[in-house]
Amino acid sequence: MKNDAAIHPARAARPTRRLSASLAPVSVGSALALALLFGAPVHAEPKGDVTIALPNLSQLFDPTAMVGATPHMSYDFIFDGLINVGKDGKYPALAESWTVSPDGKQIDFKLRKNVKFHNGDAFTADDVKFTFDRVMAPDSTHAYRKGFTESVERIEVVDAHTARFVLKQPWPAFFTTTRYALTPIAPKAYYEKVGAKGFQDNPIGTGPFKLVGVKAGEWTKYEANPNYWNGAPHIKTATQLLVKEPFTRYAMLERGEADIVSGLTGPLLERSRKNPDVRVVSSRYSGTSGIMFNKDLFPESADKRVRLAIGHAINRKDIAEKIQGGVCQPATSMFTPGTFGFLEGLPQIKYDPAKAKALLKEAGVKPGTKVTFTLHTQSFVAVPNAPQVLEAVAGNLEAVGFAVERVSVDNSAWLAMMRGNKPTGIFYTPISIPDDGGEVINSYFVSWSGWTARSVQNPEYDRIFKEQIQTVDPDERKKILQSFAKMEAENVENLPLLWCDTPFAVSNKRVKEWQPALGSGYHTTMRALRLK
Amino acid sequence: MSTRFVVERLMQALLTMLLLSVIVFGLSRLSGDPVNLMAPMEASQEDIERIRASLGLDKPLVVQYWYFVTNALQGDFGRSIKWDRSAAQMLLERFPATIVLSLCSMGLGLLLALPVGIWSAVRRDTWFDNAGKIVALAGQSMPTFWFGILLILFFALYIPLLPTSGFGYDEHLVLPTVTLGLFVAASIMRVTRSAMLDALEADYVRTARAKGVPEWRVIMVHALKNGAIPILTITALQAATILRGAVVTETVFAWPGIGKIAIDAVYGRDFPLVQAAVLFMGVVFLVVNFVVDMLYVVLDPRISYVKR
Amino acid sequence: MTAEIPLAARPVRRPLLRRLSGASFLLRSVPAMFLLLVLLSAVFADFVAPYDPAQQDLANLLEGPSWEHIMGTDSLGRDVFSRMLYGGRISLLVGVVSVVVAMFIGVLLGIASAMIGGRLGDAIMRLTDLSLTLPGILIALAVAATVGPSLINVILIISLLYWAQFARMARGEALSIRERDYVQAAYAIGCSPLRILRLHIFPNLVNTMIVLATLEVAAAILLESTLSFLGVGVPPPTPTWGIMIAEGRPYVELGWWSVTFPGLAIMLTVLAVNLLGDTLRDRLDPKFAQRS
Repeated sequence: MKNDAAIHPARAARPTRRLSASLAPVSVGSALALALLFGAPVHAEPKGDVTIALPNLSQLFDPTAMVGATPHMSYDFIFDGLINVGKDGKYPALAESWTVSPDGKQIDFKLRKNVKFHNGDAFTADDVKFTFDRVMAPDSTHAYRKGFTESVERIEVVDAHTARFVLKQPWPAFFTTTRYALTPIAPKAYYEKVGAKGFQDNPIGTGPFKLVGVKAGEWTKYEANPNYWNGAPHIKTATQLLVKEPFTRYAMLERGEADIVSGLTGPLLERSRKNPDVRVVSSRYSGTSGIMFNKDLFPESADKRVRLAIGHAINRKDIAEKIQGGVCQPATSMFTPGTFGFLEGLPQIKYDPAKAKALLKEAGVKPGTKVTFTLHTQSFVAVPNAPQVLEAVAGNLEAVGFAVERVSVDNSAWLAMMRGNKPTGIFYTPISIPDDGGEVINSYFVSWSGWTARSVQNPEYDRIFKEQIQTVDPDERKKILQSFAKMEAENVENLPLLWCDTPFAVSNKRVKEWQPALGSGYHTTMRALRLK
Repeated sequence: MSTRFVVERLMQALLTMLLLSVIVFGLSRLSGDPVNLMAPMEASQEDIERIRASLGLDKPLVVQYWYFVTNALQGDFGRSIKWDRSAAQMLLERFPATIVLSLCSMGLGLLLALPVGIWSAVRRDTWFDNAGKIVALAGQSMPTFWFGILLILFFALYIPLLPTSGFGYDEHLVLPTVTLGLFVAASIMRVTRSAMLDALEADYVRTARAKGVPEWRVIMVHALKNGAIPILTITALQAATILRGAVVTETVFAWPGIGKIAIDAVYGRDFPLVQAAVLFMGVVFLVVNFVVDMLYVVLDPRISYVKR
Repeated sequence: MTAEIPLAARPVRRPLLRRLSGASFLLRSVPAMFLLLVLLSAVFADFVAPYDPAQQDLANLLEGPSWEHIMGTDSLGRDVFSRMLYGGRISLLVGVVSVVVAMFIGVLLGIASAMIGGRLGDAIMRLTDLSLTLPGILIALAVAATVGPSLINVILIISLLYWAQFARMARGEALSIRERDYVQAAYAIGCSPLRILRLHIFPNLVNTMIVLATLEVAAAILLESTLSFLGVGVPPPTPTWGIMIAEGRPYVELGWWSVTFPGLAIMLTVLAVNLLGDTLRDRLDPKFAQRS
């Protein structure tokens, strides 16, 4: 793959020669300069080309060295996991089927036959073993290595099309957790030949698209894999384009320069909905978020009434509908309706400032009590428009009498703050892809969780977490998770805030059919996308 | 120009680059840790240490700095952490876009600033002078990002003439060029005006007039030549600024220049890329300054860099 | 010789009345009056503003101008007019204080470099040059990432970027004043350097510094808006004009009032400060241009 530095692949809104001529001084000069520097511009394929403009972009292609969740946005094009995720949820991909032993400690994956990597090599169980061995290797930097090493003893190749996971303990969450189940499978022979750096520069997989162009920090271009085992994509090329400025992304869609745009916030989404040329589709339940308390800095929060009062102070409904443009909804628990283990019918903590004030008075919290609160300066895929949402929450807290001191952080500073166990008195934590209740407990409720800066210390919760992880029977496990949800609704250790979808604005003029994957804003594969 | 002068200049440049390397190294290390953004919250201390080690961040700072400088001297700035590409290559790949935008903007800026500035000086205190002053200042008084967004709104959406953003065709250049060009034009115009005012009152201009040289020649040749040095200085200053990355303009118009990626690198605590970017910008600054010093000699024979 | 001075260059004293009504007069008085207005509204914001600038009203966000909200509401339903008044206060504060701090540091180091001379003086000048080599916005962002954004940090970051200009000019000025005959004479009769500094250098420096400071205040107000755009401006709830534009920029069309009013406020203020700077330059320091 050549590093195609020549031309921005964005469609120019039809190169207009007349315009060039009339803008003589600037245009001729620039044409000359451009021609000198890059050679003549190359026109993109007129048909079958889809451009998606995104507020963030990942160009890390080595699935055995995954960093956070963002690389999925490129993995889904190039690779397949044993399991994939689509608009209806997870489905068997490179594994056709699997059998779990009665004690839950051995999983045999039956692998799909006649699947080929982009270079023509056949996909076999060796590749599966190779991939997971690399993920778990002592020198691996894979972000979720710990999840694997805690549960997996070793991977065995039974035959060319059977791979066996020998486990240390049962691991039902493997199948319900995107970050584990969807680990993309890398080609052993090719990877060993080119090495890690070589693979990053020229990655190949079994996926529906091949990587054909990269401009670091700008765009990634993929081309359809005509031999894809699940049917070739309908489009020829797809380009992911990094465009940081929200208004620019919006304008690109309206102008026809982009076919799909993500990261639009409230009012712009409202406007997109009213535009007959644009439709808004969402990756449902891609994020959940909650308000947490640092009991050292804000000791009053140890009192459940204070936490409840803050729950009543926050205007979730208006935040969800107005600021988020309806892509979020008020949460009743940290589990979303898309989470394995979700319990329906839990009560919503209603917006009621008067009740909040009464509860605070009852708990002896005086008006004017000082509290620190974290404001994020950057948004998340899981929760768009975070800066405004949080300023709205801060305003809600002030309205019931708190003196709120805002602490502004960017993502890096925020994570450093959480790792150092030094969050503000009241703080906010979003997580993306909350697809498994066990993982949500792991993030928000266990005593060792970094996401809450270890602010929840409830031995019962720790016990439940360990119990569900060992429970092989899915129904049994679901019951445990649901009983947990009920218990937490009573305890209110953390305040559920919003369930969010990740919205994508799609051009009606060009795109006939497209739906992002369920439960994750990162999974935007375009295999099934059809153009008009 | 003596060799001694060249050697001295080179030594100064090296010293500047050395200090710059210390500053950027220190500042980036103070600003946080890229591993925070890479490792998941669930990661154990051991996991974090492993990632740090894979990036070489586990070594003592002095050792890290030594590696950074010695590798940089060989042209190796390491790989960007966020993009996993050679940092030096990323900047070189982007520099053409920055150069194109800078050249066009400076061109537009000069095209507007010089005639208006000269004519304002000639017609001092007339309506033209005052109007020119206000318009020029207005161009510099708007926050760049607001101006850029307004340009997109009006010239890409309301009047669909131009593309909103991006890079590749001539049309893509127009809006960013206007945004930056108007910005640089203001300063250049003001300096041109005051330099010309001084030059027009100088003795040699009077002499030229007394000798019956036509007025246009007096202005365009005698006065302009003598007012050239401050004009050149401000032009160079502006050029050096935008050549080091017009951060805001590049962000609004998704222009693949070096300013945008450098900002992104700071957010991501992408140390190798931050270091490479700042040193790269330092070199650009030094080169522009050197070129300007050479031009001074051409413009004004009285300036000489020969040690007497 | 006088006959040969062309009319355009000859200073003509026009009658008082015509001068008062002339464009130049307007150019001098209108900015001053505008700035006075901005200053007054900033000082008396507490009395003029109809609403608390941080008061949200999510049910009525991005509502256009009406009798209740004469400049409409922003993306969190806050009153744009009230935010304009308070925002002006902070924007001016950031602009003025950061430049005063920069001027203080710059003048101190510039004069020190000129008076001390030798190795140390050179070293100070090297530091100044180095500071000018730094890519400003990038360094500002890195510093903000290190210390976290806050009002005081924004002010310090701007002074950090601007002090070198003052140092350079102060040094140049001090050197040239030192070489003047009467100052040399003062040296010769044994005046102490401090006395020379107080009696000769400082008074001569003041005009230049005031002119430069005026221009830098305008630039600082704009820089504050750029920092807000990059997410490292003064954190909420404190409004500044820069933050108002930065927050409202996606809604430049949908809620034009939430962007256009603060945008115009910055634009006109910066314009007025610059015009004032020009006037001061003409009055106080006509030779300024060549040294800048």
